[in-house]
Amino acid sequence: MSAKSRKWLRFRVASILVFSLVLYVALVSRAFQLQIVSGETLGKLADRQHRKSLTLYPERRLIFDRNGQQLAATVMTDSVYVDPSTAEDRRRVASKLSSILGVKKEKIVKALANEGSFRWVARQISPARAEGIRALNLEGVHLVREPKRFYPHRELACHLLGFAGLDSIGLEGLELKYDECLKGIPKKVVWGRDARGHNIYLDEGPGGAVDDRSCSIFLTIDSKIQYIVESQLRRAVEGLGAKGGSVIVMDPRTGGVLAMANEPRFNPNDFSSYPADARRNRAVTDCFDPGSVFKPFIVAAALEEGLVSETDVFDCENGSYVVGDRVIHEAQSEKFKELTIPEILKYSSNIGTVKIAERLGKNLAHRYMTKFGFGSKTGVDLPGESTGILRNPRDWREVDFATMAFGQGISVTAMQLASGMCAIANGGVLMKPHVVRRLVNKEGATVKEFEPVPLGTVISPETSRKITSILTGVVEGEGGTGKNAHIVNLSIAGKTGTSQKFDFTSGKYSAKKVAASFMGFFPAQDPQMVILVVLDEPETSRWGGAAAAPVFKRVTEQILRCSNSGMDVQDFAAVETVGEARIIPASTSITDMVYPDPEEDETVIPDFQGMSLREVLRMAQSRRIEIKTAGTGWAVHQNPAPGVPIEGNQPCYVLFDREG
Amino acid sequence: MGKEASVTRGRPDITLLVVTVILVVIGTVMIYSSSSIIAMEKYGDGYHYIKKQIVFVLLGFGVMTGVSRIPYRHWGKVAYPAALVSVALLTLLIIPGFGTTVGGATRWFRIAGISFQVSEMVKVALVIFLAHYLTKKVSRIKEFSRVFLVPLALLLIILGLILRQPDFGTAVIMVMVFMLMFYLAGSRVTYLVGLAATAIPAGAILIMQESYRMRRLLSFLNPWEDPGGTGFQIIQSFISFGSGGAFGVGIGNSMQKLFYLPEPHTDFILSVIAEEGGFVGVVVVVVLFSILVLRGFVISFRCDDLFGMLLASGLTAVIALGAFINMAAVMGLVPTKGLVLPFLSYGGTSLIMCMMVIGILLNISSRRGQEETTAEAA
Repeated sequence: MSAKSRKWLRFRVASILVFSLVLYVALVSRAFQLQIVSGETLGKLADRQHRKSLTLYPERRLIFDRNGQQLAATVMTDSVYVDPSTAEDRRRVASKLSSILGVKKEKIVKALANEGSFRWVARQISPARAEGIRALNLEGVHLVREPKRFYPHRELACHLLGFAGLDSIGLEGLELKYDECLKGIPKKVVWGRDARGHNIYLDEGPGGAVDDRSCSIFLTIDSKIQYIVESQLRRAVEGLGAKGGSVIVMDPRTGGVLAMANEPRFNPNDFSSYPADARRNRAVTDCFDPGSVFKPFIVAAALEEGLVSETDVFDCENGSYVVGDRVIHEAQSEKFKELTIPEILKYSSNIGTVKIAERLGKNLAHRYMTKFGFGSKTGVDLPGESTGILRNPRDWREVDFATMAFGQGISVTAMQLASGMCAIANGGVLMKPHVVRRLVNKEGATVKEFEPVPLGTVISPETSRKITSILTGVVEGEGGTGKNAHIVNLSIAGKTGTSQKFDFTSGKYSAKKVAASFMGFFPAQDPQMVILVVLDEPETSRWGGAAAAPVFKRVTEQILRCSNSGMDVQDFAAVETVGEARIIPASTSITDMVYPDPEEDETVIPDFQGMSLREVLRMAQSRRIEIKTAGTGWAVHQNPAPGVPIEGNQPCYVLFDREG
Repeated sequence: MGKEASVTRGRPDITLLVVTVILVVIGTVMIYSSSSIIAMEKYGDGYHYIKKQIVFVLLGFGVMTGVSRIPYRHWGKVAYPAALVSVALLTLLIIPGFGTTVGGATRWFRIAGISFQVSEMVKVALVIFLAHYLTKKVSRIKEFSRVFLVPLALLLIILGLILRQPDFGTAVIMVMVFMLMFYLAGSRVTYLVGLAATAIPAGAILIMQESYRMRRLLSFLNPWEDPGGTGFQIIQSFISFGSGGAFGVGIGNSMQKLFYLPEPHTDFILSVIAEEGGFVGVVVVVVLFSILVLRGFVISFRCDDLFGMLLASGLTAVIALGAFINMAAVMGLVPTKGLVLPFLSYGGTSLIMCMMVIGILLNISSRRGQEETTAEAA
């Protein structure tokens, strides 16, 4: 081999070497592109095919009333899912599932046509259906136990409780407000999956022991009072043809809410079939012009400031008083001459109150309204609270200020009114209203106790006593506007209210659409309960004294009967069913017996008390009960008692009385 | 005395040996990692493949050691017999009943439980034959009919037989090695260009004739068009690479070997390496091959006689091309071919032939510039 040819040969070898190395550099570049540049994207694809995960929610904790009565419970139900990757013979599986579940066959076929290994078919099905599915033992069809929220007392306290949806997520009310606390920490379970669909357990991450800090909540609500309030409110709303209404019962000493009810209401077990209007907790979300129930706050402020005394006499201008460009009249065209302060409230004189307010002055009036909690949220532990509208005194014209004195032109929530009334009742301290009393963990230990929170002193105990005595006169005095709330042997302080609703379409206060209200507390000497009744647009009887005061009275009477007779009040819990199976909620106390709700159960004698003759007859007809009546007015007594099963043609005797 | 001289005057290429050992060790570990679950599924024994591979490794090192002691000039003597045996065995394969068919391709003889892949041997045989033939005809290298025609005829016969198996990938390597050796021997570039000009349309026709080749080509061009079907294999390979990222998921932790990757212990072993060892692992493997190829060509470069140079270059090119095509294929740079990765993939014939190549290269490296030693040993 010549030197020259050898040199050429070596050149050619070297050229091949260089070419090879270039190719190898290309390989490294490509690997860089795949693993570093696109690594994240491809890694996600890898995770998607390698990992399967499922979020497990711990069983949602319970909600109890103050006596340990379960208001929201959790029951385990079965849910069905299909695994399209392992399911054989889609049509056959679909038709079998469809016949048991009543789900459309096409829907199941569609679910089975999906890629992947998990598709819900039906959730929270009845035990009977679950048993049917289990018996079929179909390849690729699986059942999982899922917790379902369950409200054993149906509508009871529905607006307070709210509701939780699928996957145990709180959507409304306390379920929403205390969602974090009730639901605990969801656990994510991850496992691997090979290309043939087998599961592989991955040894990663802290698995089981998740710190479970979920708590059950105990409310300040007393479900007996809640029941009384709800049934009386319902009766009133139906009887008066009102659009809706709210009742709040509070303990003025603590600010604890004992009952809060609204109409219309809903069954949280089936929340999705009710309109949003029925699901709103209007006692905290809705504002209205309070009307005359607002007068005591103005009077209390004036008394507190010493600007007036109880014996002061005000000229009520014989029923017409000019303020600015407007003439102020009394309600129902009354004409008063000279009235003392107790008389002004007793007869609910608008002109008298305006004159008291004029002595108080805009700035002081505004300061006291703020101190009573108007114009800001009360801080109650319920979602969606409104602030109401309390404008700045600089923007008040003379006439605005005057009408505000009798509750027109200020916007408040029922919650604000009730909590303001508590301050008058309890000796002058504004308490923060609350519904939750304590949080209890899994082991039953109290994790947190909600103590009463005083927000500030509004008036002195002396002023409180004065105004209480004045308000007692409203109910007990001869010709007082609140006489319909009067109960023998019980000293009740109260105030009626009828406010014209602002009509947004015409931009004026409507003469026809009113909110009728009554606000009161008892016993006057040592107030234990404040009750506010608001009826929205009652048709047949529009005045607070005539429409709302009787509701206050009936509620108070029943509460007293209930507490006088101790615990022998029959529980009223309606029994709810899940699917076809009847589920009796586990009672926390042995004495708590579950009786069917006479209002709902068609096979027992209903509670006629408080109904008119016409209503009694209509209800009796619908349940095929023969009725024998005596007297006129409202039903006051019946035999057999409510809740007794209807037997054959046995007649029911109902006694009516004007006095109620 | 002669033996002493060969030891003192020409040391075998230690780097080449070390790189080879590292590659074989990596291969053995990765074959175990990638095959154990498949072996469990198929044979109920997770060690099924690794046990066989360890035997092949021991055999391979034996062959390498033995071959490194055979003076490389002796290989010239077996040039013609090797070519004849290659043609004979390839012919035998296409006669029904002799060959063993795996995955639609008849590439193996199976004697007493041991499979033998003919084309692995044929590649080496072709290099030996060409090195010997071209060394003898080097003076008339520019003459077409005298020098070019005979090897071309042999190549065409071999190609025809290999394509019958079918084994398109090996055929491509044969053509490239053939051209490379003629290029090194100083053949007219026009012949080679002419050969390429004929081979490319021929290849195109072959691809279009076979629907599976066409599908492979189309899925290579756009695998994401049908990720569940034709693009599945290459996409799974991409996912392995991406899943590994920079530093990998750790040895033994590949998820892709769980039936997502086809043949994780043979064709797609680099994908498993990429997933478990990450970009770092892939770079290590590519660098090891680069060093191996570099040493192979350096041995050729330093060799004094033409036969040794051509032999060393040709054999190095066989490994370099095999490794490149396999790695490029699993990364989606060239269409998938069904070629194994030298030293790393599971497979007895491939490993033993590669070790034999290393043995020959080691021998050439230890005898460079030692004309008389070579003569003496011969």
